[in-house]
Amino acid sequence: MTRPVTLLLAALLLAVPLSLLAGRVWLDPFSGLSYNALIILTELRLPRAILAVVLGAGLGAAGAAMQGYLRNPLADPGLFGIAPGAALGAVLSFWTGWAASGWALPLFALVGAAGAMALLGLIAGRTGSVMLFTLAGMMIASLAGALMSLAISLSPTPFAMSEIVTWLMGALTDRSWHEVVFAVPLTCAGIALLMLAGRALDALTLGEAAARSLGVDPARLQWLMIGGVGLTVGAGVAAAGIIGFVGLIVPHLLRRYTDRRPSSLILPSALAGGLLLLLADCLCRVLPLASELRLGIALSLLGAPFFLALLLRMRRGLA
Amino acid sequence: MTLGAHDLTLAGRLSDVSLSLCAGEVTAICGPNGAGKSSLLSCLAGILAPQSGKAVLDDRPLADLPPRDRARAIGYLPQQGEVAWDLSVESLAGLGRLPWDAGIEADRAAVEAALAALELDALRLRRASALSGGERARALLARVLAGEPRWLLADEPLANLDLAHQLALLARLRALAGQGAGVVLVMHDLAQVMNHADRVVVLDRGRVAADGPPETALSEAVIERVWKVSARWLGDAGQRALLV
Repeated sequence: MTRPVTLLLAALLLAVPLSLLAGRVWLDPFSGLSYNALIILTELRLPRAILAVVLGAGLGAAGAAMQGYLRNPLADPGLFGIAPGAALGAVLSFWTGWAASGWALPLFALVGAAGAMALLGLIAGRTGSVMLFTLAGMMIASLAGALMSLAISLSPTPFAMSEIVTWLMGALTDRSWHEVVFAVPLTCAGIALLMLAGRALDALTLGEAAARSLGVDPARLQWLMIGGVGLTVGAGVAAAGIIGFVGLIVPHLLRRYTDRRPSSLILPSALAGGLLLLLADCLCRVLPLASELRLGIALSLLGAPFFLALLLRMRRGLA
Repeated sequence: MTLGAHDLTLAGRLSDVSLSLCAGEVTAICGPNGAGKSSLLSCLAGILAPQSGKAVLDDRPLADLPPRDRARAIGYLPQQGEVAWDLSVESLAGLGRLPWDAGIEADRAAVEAALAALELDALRLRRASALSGGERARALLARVLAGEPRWLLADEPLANLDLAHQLALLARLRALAGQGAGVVLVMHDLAQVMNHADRVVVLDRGRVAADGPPETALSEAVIERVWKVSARWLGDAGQRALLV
């Protein structure tokens, strides 16, 4: 086990129990837990912590794999159009009124993600071309974004519009075991697919031609990426809405502590993504605001300056 | 062991190219810009599928070989020395072991041998971004050597090397051929080709214009016909210089 992995695991083991205590109502583990406190712990905070860690892990791993696949430190899982596809599905569930019934919202979101994945596979075909794949992803993201805007503008009621806009901000507020049940296995399966792609991503460091000469099958790699990013990002959006920047920030922060091979970055990024989302969610819970800060907004507020700093550093490097 | 091409055709790049290369030889592929040298090398490496015809390894079409089997047999060094992430020289060479599942010890031994062969021991921890052009070219070649291929195909491997390192590299490749590997190089320096290659394939507008030992494939007449340059060879065998 590498040093970053050990440190991140230790940090997670420390952060998870602490996160269970933090919130509008602080729990004191030393004075015995009341029935209400136990309910808060088991029905609200524990599933929320599990979701934060797992979804963050999925986004971190997807970001590391995406950056390896596109050979670009500015790549983000959102680039493939899968997150907008999933969000479009979720928006349609609000639009049609199905969102109110149990499984419909995540199901619609997962169908949206699957639709984006299928379209991506269909357009990119068996070429394995990274450029074609990226352009197809951007087209899907743009199309899904436009359809989402259309759905919002044609909302049947102001209430539905408000629901959609609030949901799109991304949050773990009021999430329960209901979301854990589908999001955890799907995200774990996605991370496993991304880790399977590790060796091929390493080879891609040398460019597409050299990677092919090292035995990489570009079409197989493309499917692993579609499956891995689709499952992690799709499950994330289905459970929590759109949460950006984790996939961009985390791999970038950790790269210097690895030997820089994409495969060596996936696991640390998963652990750090989980840790970041857990801490950000705790911060949202404890900030003294009239209503809880949405997680998606908090991470965007954190991520945008980070992205800018990254661009400025790149500009200095080019000067 | 042979690596060959049967009627390879690639629109606008190659036209009915057939040849059979032997292991244990240093073969140079030469020709003017746009003659199809890199395309031919890519087809022989199995990473570019021809529109018609086939590349074969020991009479087996490359397209029928599992990618990893092909990768273990044929090491390919592309013209563009891309390294997307700032790997250390050691990690970079280690990428050559990706097609193998030989275990950590075997991988380490192969990487060590490749680094030693290219005099990169002292630079093993240096990052790619901190390497000079020549060091980077050697590190990329070390990646190919670490894969212990039976065939080494390199597209302009001398391009970023100073004269001393060019000669050292050619000597290393000659030694590799002496150990039974096939070495196929795309080269532009005709004097280096004349002095160091066992066999020369001259391409002109996608077709084989000459194929044979350097003395005949790179005769003054061939140079005039293919490169449209009047030139004269000076000196004795092994120490030839081209007077243009």
